[in-house]
Amino acid sequence: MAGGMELWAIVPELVLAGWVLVLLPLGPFLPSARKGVTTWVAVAGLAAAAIASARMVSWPHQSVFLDTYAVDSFAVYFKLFAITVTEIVLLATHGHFRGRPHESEVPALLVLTCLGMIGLAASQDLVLIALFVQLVTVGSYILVGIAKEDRHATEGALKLFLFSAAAGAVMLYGMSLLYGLTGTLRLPELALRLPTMPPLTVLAALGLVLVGYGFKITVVPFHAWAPDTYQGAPTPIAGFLSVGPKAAGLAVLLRTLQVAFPRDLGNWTQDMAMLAALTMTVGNLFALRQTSVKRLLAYSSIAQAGYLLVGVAAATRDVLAVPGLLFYLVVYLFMNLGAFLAVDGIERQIGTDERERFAGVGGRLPLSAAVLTISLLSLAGFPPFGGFVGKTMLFGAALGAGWAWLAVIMGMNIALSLYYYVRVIELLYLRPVPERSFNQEPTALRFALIVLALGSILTGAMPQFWVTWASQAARLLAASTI
Amino acid sequence: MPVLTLIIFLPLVGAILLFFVPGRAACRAVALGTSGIVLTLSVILAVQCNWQSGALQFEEQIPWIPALGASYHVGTDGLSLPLVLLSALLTFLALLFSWNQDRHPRAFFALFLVMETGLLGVFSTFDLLLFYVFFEVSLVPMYFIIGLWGHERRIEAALKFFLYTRVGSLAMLLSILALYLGTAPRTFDLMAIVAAQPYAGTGLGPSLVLLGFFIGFAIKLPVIPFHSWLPDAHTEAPTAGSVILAGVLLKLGGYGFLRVALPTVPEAFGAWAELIAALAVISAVYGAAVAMAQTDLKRLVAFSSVNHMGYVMLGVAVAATVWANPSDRAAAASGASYQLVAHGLVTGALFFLVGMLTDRTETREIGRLSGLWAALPLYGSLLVFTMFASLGLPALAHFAAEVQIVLGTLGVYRWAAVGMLLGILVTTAMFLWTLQRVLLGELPAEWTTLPGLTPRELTTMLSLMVLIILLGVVPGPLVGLFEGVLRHGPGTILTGIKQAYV
Repeated sequence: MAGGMELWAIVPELVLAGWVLVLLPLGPFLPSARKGVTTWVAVAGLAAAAIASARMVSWPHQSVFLDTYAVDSFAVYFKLFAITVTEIVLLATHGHFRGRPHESEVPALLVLTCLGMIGLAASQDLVLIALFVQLVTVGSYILVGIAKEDRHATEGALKLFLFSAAAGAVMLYGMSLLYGLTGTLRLPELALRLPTMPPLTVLAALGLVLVGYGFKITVVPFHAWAPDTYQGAPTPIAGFLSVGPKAAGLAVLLRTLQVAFPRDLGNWTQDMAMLAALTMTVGNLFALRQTSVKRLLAYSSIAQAGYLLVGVAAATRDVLAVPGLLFYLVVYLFMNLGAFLAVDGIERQIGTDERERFAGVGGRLPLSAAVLTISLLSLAGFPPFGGFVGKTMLFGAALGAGWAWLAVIMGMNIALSLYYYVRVIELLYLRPVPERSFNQEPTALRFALIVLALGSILTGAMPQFWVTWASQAARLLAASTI
Repeated sequence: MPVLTLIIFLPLVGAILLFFVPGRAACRAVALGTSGIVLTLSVILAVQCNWQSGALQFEEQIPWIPALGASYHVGTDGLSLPLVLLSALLTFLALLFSWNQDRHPRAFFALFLVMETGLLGVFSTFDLLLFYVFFEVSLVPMYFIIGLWGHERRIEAALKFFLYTRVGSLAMLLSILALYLGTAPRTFDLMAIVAAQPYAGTGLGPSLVLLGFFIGFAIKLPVIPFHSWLPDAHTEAPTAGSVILAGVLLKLGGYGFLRVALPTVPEAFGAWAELIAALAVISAVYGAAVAMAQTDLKRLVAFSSVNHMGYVMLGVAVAATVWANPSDRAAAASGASYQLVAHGLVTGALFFLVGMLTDRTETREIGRLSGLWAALPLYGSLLVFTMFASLGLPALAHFAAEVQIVLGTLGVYRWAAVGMLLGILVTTAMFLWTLQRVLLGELPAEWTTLPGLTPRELTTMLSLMVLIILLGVVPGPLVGLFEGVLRHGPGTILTGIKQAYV
């Protein structure tokens, strides 16, 4: 615990913060035909932050800024994750917002939200966590509502705002309880003091904090905002919300549970397993009846959050759990973002996300349709795509933790999910091709789609690299708890 | 040279290549050429293989996901070699038959080649994770083949096929993971798992693992009550798709039972064997009886598959009966394996024949077909031959298989042997009655000038006919091949059966 001004440890964060300050005033000075330049400036800034983060991959675990901020492989993993998500989403927003109002502000807001996600994954202090949660949320709801002319977008932004305000307040209440009990806000110190506290109060505080985290991760029953918000939001932004903040929420949840809370406190692992089962089941059941593809993907991403929670629940019980979770997150980035961006490509041509209107699109927009198919098959857990390896690891974690029931529920859910995924694929390819011709997707979006599809395939066919990295990041997180 | 890897992945390379060649003729050449090379290589593999040893040959093992204990482990032995040959042959013939495919030929050929990679992979891998991967890889192309090129109710049939098989494979995945977690150190390698026997005994754990495998393979095979996807999928699929479905995809179930379920949970399988034998007999009799009631010729052939696969299940159940005489068990196991190959050839041929008929008459209604022997004499004779082969006429392929199963069963479950004979009787009646309705009687005037068989169709049928006769007249080599596996086995393919030969 030295100094407290270890600026060398937060170079990526400083780069991003500086870039936001450059990007925001840059927009108004650009001529309206040139507003898209901000995207490329943002891409460059994120690349610089990625390089700065990549340097830190092999650093040993250390705590900086008076023990409030972690520099470890786990945090670096999420830094690179958040930056990758933002880079890819920028490629899609570039075309999506071209010529619309606020075109130049979108990249700045995305970078700002990315900064929040990076901070969230590394924080080990409750106040910092609360702060970064707010940063992510504020960025998100401006992004959702930025298409002011669209009523649905405004509705989505308002829902997100109201839910986040309520969830945030409950979370802060839980945090204040923890502070009242122990007199500290730092996770490592909480770990030392919580075991001697009355377990019931600690459990209550944990439950309240989980409301705030669960809102970000779309854990049932804190998921209700997601379908409306995703449907109303511009599609690339919906994709961003379904991957970025969700991953950041999982990172902070895992760190809080692993570092601060005693392992034998109540039955929290068991409760978390039940929450995982509930989340995946509710997500899949509601997805079955959706006619809007974006709502369908929203419910599907709630179900995916359920699978991810299996990794959190089994974290202390089986060695496969945390690597499985981290690996699955990377795959989830490729497949879920792939699905949303492909829907963006299709939606822009047919002007709606109604499922029935997707009929025969496979013959007209081969790239978007192919990427959507690969992404959906990967989400359904088909080999040789990455979703299969990730699901296998999480299955293994559930069985290894002694929860055969959870593995069976997960298996039944995956089988059920195939039904609604395959109905979309069926529309794309097995129905008559529409008469009118379509324009090709913008180049940047095409590039993003190809990268995402390759990601789904490579994480499935050659998963060794990612599995090793995920295992290493997981080991370092475990090491930091001692 | 890693010849097995070459065989497995060459079709995939061909499928990718298809998207870089212009025109229909070039596509056709690439597709047929690829599957022809794969067939040739498989034959070379079979020739070079030592048929007596029964050991794992052409083995290759390289790390795939070391962190998870999964490796790329392929090889071939007496049980897998005939099925590799069968897949290569039927894919080649199916593509040859689809020579004139004019709706999206590129995608059609590519899907068949991708599926061939999956099928060849399943039959040659000895790593359970890889087994699962190949098992599923063969599923998606078939969904599209049924859904895009099938008949009237193709979309529902494709969805039903997809969902059923998926439920089965997820159950199988859970069992595979249970084996993986139970073995120390954790590994997906089949040999290591069989050697470690993590789920020996007949307790709850082994029974649950067996249940997972049973659901997975019984849906694929299929056995009653998991069969209802089959008639729809087989009927709605295009001819080439039906051939692969019946000829090869069903074999994944039988092969899975023999290769994976029997050696990994032998005692639990033994404890449930009698119940499974009962299901198998019901399946066989029910399949034959329902086939008799069909009015659609293709559906009739589809239900006859349920009947034939019932015998496979019966053979597997007898082989699993731990307390039975080892030589009975060995005969049943060998018979079940033989039945897989025989059914692939005979039912493949039957679906080709039905396809040729519908191409000409444009109907599959048995009620509307009659007197066709007069219009198509050569075709009629081929149909008679193939249906006689299917009902188990001596000196043809099915006879050799079913005799072994019956003999094995007699010493173990007498009632089941009687039930099986009843099934064969109903099948015989069913096929004879069908022949009478379709070939004899009065020929409708509109069909007096149907075009005869083309050389391509004739080649397809003749090659299958030669093999059907060969397997019926000279069963020795193939039985010897299976015996080699049972006697020496890679690891202990059928625990306890080895004693029969000691």
